[in-house]
Amino acid sequence: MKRGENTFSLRDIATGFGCCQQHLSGAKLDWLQNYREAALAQLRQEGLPWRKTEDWKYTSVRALMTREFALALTPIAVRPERMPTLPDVEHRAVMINGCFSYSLSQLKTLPPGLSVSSLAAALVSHPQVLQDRVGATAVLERHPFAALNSAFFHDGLVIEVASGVRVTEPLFILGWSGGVPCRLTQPRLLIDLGKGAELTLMEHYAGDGVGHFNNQLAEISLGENAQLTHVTLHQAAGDHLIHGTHVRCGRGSRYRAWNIDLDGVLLRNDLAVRLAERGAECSLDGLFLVGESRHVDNHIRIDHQAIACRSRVFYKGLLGKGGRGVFNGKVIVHPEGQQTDARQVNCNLLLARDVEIDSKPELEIYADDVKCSHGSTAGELDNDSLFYLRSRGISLPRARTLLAEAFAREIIDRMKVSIEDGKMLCHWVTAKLTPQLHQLANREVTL
Amino acid sequence: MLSIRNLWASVNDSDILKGLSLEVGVGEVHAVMGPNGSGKSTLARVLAGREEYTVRADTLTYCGHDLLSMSPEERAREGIFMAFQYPVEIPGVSNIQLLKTAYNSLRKHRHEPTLDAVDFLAMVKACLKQVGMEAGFLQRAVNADFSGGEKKRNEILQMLVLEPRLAILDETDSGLDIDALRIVAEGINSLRSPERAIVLVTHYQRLLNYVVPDCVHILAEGRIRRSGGPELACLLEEKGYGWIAAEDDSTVGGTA
Repeated sequence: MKRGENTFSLRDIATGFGCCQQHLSGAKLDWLQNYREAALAQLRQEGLPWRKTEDWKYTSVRALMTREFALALTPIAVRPERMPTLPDVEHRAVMINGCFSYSLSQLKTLPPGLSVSSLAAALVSHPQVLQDRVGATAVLERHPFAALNSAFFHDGLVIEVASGVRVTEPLFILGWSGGVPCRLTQPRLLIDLGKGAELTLMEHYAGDGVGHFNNQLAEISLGENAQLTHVTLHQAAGDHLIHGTHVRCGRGSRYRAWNIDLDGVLLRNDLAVRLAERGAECSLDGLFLVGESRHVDNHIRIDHQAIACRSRVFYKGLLGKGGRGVFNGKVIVHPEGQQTDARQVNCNLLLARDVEIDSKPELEIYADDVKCSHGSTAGELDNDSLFYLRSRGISLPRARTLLAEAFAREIIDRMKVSIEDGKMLCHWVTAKLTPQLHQLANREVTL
Repeated sequence: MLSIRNLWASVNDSDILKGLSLEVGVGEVHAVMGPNGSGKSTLARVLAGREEYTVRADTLTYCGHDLLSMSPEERAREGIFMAFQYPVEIPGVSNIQLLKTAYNSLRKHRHEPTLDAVDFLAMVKACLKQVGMEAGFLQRAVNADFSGGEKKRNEILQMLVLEPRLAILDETDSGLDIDALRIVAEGINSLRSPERAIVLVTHYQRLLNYVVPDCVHILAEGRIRRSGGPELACLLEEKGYGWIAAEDDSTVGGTA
C-alpha cells in the first residue's frame, strides 16, 4: 500500500475512521471534526442499508461490504490516453480518485464571478467560509452513504457563482477512478449559486473499471432566482457509484438536471431536492441503460416546502438482457406547499425477457390546493414498428437499435431544446450513448 | 418474376389464404381485388415476410429466390417493397433517418458505395417534389401525427427512393382524396418499367383509371376466383362481388 492510502472495509467503518482520521483534509478544524464524528454517529445508529431498509429494498450493497478498498487520499498520475475523451469545453475540473488534479484541470480563464477550487485546498486557505457550507444542504438521516461521505470526504470541489453572474460557457467536471487496488473515493462537491446567478454543469464519471467504489455527495444551494443546469453522465463500467445530490432551491430558483446512466456494476443516484421557498422549480430528467450484471437505482425525493413551487420528473429506462433497474420517485407536499404543481413519469423499455424494473412513483400530500400526478409504464419494442423497418431493408439489429434510440431520444431532445449550447452537449452524450444502446438492444438477437 | 402456386396462410389456426396461385411477370402491373376479408392484405403481408402467419406453398418464388427462406429485410434488399395499408407511426425516428438507413442497406447489399448526405438529400428532394411534399417533412418522425393522405404519400415516397423491382401496394388508394389519389397514381406510374412489376391490392376500380393494369384478379375466400383484363374491374364496379359467389355456387351445383 502506498503512503497516504489505508485499507478500508465497510464492515468496520470505525477502525477505518480511526486509521485515516488524521490524514483527512481539515483534520485540525474542530468544527469539521465534530461534523465528521456526528456523521459517523448517525451512521452507527442507523447502520448500513440491508434488505429490510425501505429505501434500499431493491438494491443490495452486499458486494461492497465484502470487499476491501484503498482509501484514496492522493491522486495518481494518469496517462492522458487512458482518460475518456473530453468534450470541447474551455473550463474543466478533473478529479482523479476523488482528488482534485491540478495538472488535468483547466481553470485559468474562468470568467469573473465563477470560482472553482479544490475542497482540500479551500479547507486550508479559507476554512471559516466552508464552515457554513459543509452540511448546509446535505441530509444525513436515512442517507447512510451521505453520512459515510461526510465522515470521510477528503477532497472535492468548491464551486461558486457570484450574485447576478450568468456564466455562459459550461463547466465540465470529470471524475475518474483508476489504479490497483480498488479505490474508495469520496469526493464532496459544494456548489453555490448566488442571487440571479446561472451556470451549466456537465459531470462525467468514468474509471478503468476494475471495481472502484465512488461515493460522492454534492451539496447544491441556489439563491433567489438562480438557475443551475446540471447534466451528469455516468459511464463507469465495472465500478460502483453511489452519488448523492442534495439540492436546496431558494425563491424563484430553478434546478434542471439530466441524469444519464450508461454503465456501472452498481449505480445508485440519490437526488433530493428541497423546494424551500416560494416559486422554486425543479425539472429532473433521467435516462438509464441497464445491461447484464448491471444494477441502476434512481431514487428521487422532492420536498415541496413552500407555496407555488413546481416539479417535473421524467425518467426513461432501457433494460437489456440480465439488467435490473429501480426507479423510486417520491414527492412530498408539505402543509406549506399550497399551489404545488408536481408531475412525475417513468417509462421503461424492456429489451429482453429476464429483466426487472421496480418502478415506484410516490406522492405524500399534506396540503389541499395542489396539482399532482404520477405515472409509470413498462413495455417492449413494438413488433409492427420492427416489421415496418425491416420491410424497408433494415436489419433486425439495426431496427431494434433505431427504435431503442427513438425511445431514448426524447430525453436527449428535451436537453437540446432546453439548454443553451445544448447541441454540443447532446452530441457528446449521443456519441457515448449510441454504441451502448446498440449492444443493449441486441443481446438476445442473433446478429 | 413472382410465382405463387397453391399458397396457404393461416393465423391462429384459421386459414386465410387457401391455395392461392398467381403469376406476375416482369414489366407487368397486376391488380388484386376482392371483398373485405378475402385475404388481400394477408397476401401482401405474406409476400413482405410478416412472421405471424403460418405459410406453406408448392411454389413461392421471386426472381428464382425461395421467399419462404428469406427474412423481411432480405426480401426488401432483393427489391420487394410493400406499401402498407396502415403505415406504422414511429415517434423518435425521422423520415430522413429511415430513408437513409434503408437506402444504404440496399446499396450495401448490392455492393454499391453508400451515398453521402449531400447526394442522398438531392435525390430524396427530387422524390419529395414528385409526391408534393415539403422538405421540412423529412425531419418529422415517421408517420407520427400524419394525416391519412400524408401517410400514403409517405409510402409512395419511400417506394420512389428505394426503387423496388416488385412493388406491392396494399390499398394505397383507400382514404385518399382525388388530388392525393392522382399524386399516388403518378408516383406508381413513374415507377412502371420493363424491369419492374407492380401488384396493386385495391377495393375500388378508381385507382385503376389512373394506373391501368395488365391483369385484374379477383380474390375471394382465400383464392383467385377470376382473372382477366382491365374490363374485369369495370364489371366489378358495376355488379359488385356477389355475382362471382353466385356463379361459383351454380358451377358447384352443376357438377354435383
